[in-house]
Amino acid sequence: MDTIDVSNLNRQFLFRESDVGKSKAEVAAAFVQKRVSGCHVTPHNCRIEDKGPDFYRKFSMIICGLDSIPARRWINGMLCDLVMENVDGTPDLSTIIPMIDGGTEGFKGNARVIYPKMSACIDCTIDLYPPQVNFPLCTIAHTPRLPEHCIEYIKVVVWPEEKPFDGASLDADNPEHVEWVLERALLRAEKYNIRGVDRRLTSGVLKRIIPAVASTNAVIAASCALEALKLATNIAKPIDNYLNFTQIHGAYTSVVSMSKDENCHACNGGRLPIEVTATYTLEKLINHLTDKYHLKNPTLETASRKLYCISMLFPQLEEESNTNLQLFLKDIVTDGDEILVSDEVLARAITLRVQFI
Amino acid sequence: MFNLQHRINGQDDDRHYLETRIAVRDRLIAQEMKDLENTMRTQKQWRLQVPNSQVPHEMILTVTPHEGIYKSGTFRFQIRVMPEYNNIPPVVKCLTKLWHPNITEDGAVCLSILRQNSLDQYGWKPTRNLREVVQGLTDLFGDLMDFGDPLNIQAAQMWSQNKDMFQQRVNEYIRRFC
Repeated sequence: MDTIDVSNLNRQFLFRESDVGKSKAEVAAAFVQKRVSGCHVTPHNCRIEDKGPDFYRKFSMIICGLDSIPARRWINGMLCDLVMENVDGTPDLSTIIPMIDGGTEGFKGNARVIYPKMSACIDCTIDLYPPQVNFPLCTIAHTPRLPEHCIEYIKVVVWPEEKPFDGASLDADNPEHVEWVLERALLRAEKYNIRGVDRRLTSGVLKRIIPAVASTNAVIAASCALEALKLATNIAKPIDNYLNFTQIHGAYTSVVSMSKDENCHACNGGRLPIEVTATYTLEKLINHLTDKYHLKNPTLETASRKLYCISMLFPQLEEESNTNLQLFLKDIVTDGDEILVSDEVLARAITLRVQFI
Repeated sequence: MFNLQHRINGQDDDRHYLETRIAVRDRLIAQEMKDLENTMRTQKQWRLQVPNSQVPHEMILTVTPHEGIYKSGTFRFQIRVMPEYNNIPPVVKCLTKLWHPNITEDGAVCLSILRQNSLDQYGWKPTRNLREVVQGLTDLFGDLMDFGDPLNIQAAQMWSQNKDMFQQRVNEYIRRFC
């Protein structure tokens, strides 16, 4: 898990030299709790994915300082899914948990306020993130041009082939592994007449490191804290809704209002509550949906199984699907479960939320 | 305007959550499968199967080119759709050993849309879908076959030196492995 490293100490001011090696969450929590009287902070040493809806539902707001896009999408998806719909399709405001997200990369950073299902979410603006550097295999293998290509080749092709250090997997934090890669990368660079391979670049490429600038982090962290203060106390209007910051040349900041994307998969299409009685069969549900949405051949599935699927792609399910028609819904799903309905006439699959009455 | 005060004052704290979430990937696959089924009916060059209905995100694509260098071959690809779809492309591996400039004998496939993010516009984007992947893989035996930017360099070199020998080797591999 995330532990304190000596290189963190220049900017992560909650930590001291004596904390090196300890869990970031625990040390940070203890520091804040000690410094701010009356404040209670609980550390959790695990991945965000290890907690479920019941955990996140308890919070009034979420502030994110995550280090990857998939992590942001995950928490975004979780908070969007926690929003319940009223029967008319509008979001139930009392179930919306605002999310404040901050991110930095070198001299640039951003802070944003997201109201799940109401304003632009992470997925609505997913193409704002610049493409991550990922070298195509053919370039690395046959036409390297940059020192990074040479290093990447050793990591991706030579290491799995030669299996050094008794077949151990490449550990970018192990200086012996880095040295091994560096030696071979230098040879390859020489062969292709490429300059620039050194130990620091090798470490950086292996770990995909982008150097952190303390002042950028400070500005973005402060912006996030300010938005949290505004949301908690209503002393001022939170930003609407995306703050940009760059200090590559001078310093520049501005706020733009990102629009919600009506085609976004994460925050649209909610879950339509559907009321069912104890005598409702799967067949009755399918007929109801077919009539209501003019469907041709719907497939119905839950998170764990396909309830009804007649398709060329799943010939093995035909028999089971026909038998399932007679089953009562109360025997195959529980109250609150999601059922996904897909059909060729639908632009997007419909998600239903079952409510037993 | 959005206001958190009633939440902070403690309302709704005990509402229990029973739901089972369906992942974004599974939502996307469910809809794309419908589209794929329709497209599959209209042509004969490829067929898609899902070997295990409990694992709908793993599929086998069988391509049978009707014309060109690879006519009469049957080439199988494994397509795996990862949980982070559609931010990242599906992972594709060729299961049939063949002699091709853009597919190695071990099954690595070089197709631009399968590249996870790139600085040019030819890589994967969330606006792409499985139908494009299937079409792309099928076209590797036709329009998208590229001797100029090869993954299997020996195959490309053989083509530029002796086209007949190349065709013979392709046929030999088809005989032995398809």
